[in-house]
Amino acid sequence: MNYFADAKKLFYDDFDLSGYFDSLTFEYAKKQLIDAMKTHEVPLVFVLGNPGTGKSFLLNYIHQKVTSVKVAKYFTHPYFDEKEFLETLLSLAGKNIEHNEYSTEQLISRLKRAFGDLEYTVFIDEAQLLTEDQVELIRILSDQKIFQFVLAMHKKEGNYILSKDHFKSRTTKKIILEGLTDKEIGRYIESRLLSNNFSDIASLFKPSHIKFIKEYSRGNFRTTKKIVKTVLEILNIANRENYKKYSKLNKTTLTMAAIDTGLIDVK
Amino acid sequence: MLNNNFSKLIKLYEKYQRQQRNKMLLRLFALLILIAAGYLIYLQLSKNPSQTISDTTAYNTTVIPSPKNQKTTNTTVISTPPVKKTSVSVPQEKEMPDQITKRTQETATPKEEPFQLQVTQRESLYRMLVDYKDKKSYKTAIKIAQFYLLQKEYKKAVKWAVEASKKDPSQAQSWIIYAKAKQALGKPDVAKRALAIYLKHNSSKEAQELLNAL
Repeated sequence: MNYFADAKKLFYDDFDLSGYFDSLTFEYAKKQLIDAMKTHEVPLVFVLGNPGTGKSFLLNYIHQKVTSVKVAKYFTHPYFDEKEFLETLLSLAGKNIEHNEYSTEQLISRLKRAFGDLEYTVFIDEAQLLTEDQVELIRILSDQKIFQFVLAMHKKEGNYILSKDHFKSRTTKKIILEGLTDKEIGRYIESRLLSNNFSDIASLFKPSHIKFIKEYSRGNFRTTKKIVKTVLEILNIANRENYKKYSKLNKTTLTMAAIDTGLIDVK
Repeated sequence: MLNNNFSKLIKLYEKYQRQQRNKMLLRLFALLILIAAGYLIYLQLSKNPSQTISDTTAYNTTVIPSPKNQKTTNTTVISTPPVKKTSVSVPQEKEMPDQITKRTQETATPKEEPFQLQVTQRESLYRMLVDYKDKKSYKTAIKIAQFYLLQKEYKKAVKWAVEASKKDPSQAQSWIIYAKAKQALGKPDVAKRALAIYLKHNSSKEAQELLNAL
């Protein structure tokens, strides 16, 4: 029986919260963010990290699982017109708003009346895509303490946006998500497989394999999942189609996975 | 789903393996060359221990007439050379002397070792290349072409002769080196054609003689 096909599904890149993994960097970032949201002292919080380090997962996790904080809205992408953005936020207060019913200034004052003292937080993911106007609007809303904003963005662009005049002189908080250590990668793969009754597959991963995965993923959570998913798919095909040479988890199959995912460029 | 189909992935893996193996062999080869070069240098130095006193004029020396060597008038004794730069290799058969004796004409090695000569040539080539990079002059380009011709690196000689002729096409030397190198590369027709073209517009006894000889 070939279990690899089922096991690989555990490593799809999605926001399935059952794939939660308590890495040190994630736990630390989570604690910092929850504290910042509870105290509500900092109007702007930046969650920074390289792509695939778990920023979206963190926002999603807090949005869905943490009940002690108040998230007004989670924007997965900042593709919004400024007015629509304000109207969406105002509609959260239960008001039925027609598009273009109010001017921007009216919308802001209504939002202040509706949310001013309630200490709600708005999550905006992929915030590196925000336009200058959107950034300015967020600055106005946070300055007036209508909402606290949590902006998740790529580390490089985030540092650039933070250095802009909009935020330079303002109180902001920076939460950085780093990569996983090799021990954490090993623990993640093992716990994910064991908790889904794939103990025989979990036992195939030796420290040298974990080291290989760490070397190529550089601790990136998404890339780690991609390598593991691909190697399990290779093992699945090799076992199914009787390619004996490639039917074991070893450096060969891991290298093939790295080639297939584009981490090794074969010219 | 894999990004590549499985058999293609196997082929890619095999190609990658070959590339890695070649890289490894190349590194091993480079290492062996380094070891061999090191060994050669060691042999050279142990054959000619006196060569290790590289620059006796740099020392703050006091010339003391040696009572033992009073008969040989050319002999000078150098006392206590400064610590920096100096390395005196241990002679193979004799014990380390208390004083270092400057070499006389009789004791000096009559000819330079080929290996050291090569190093000097390479160094001067490097200087010429740097010089050419700065000035882009005909004179330097032709020197480099000449160097490669003497070294029998004909393809490089051709390249630099062309480079030199670009700077000054009326000079015969670049065409002559070009022709000689082409001939050495087994292309006498090209060499003849080049000289003929040159002689059509210029006159050079040397170029004419070379053309006749080809």
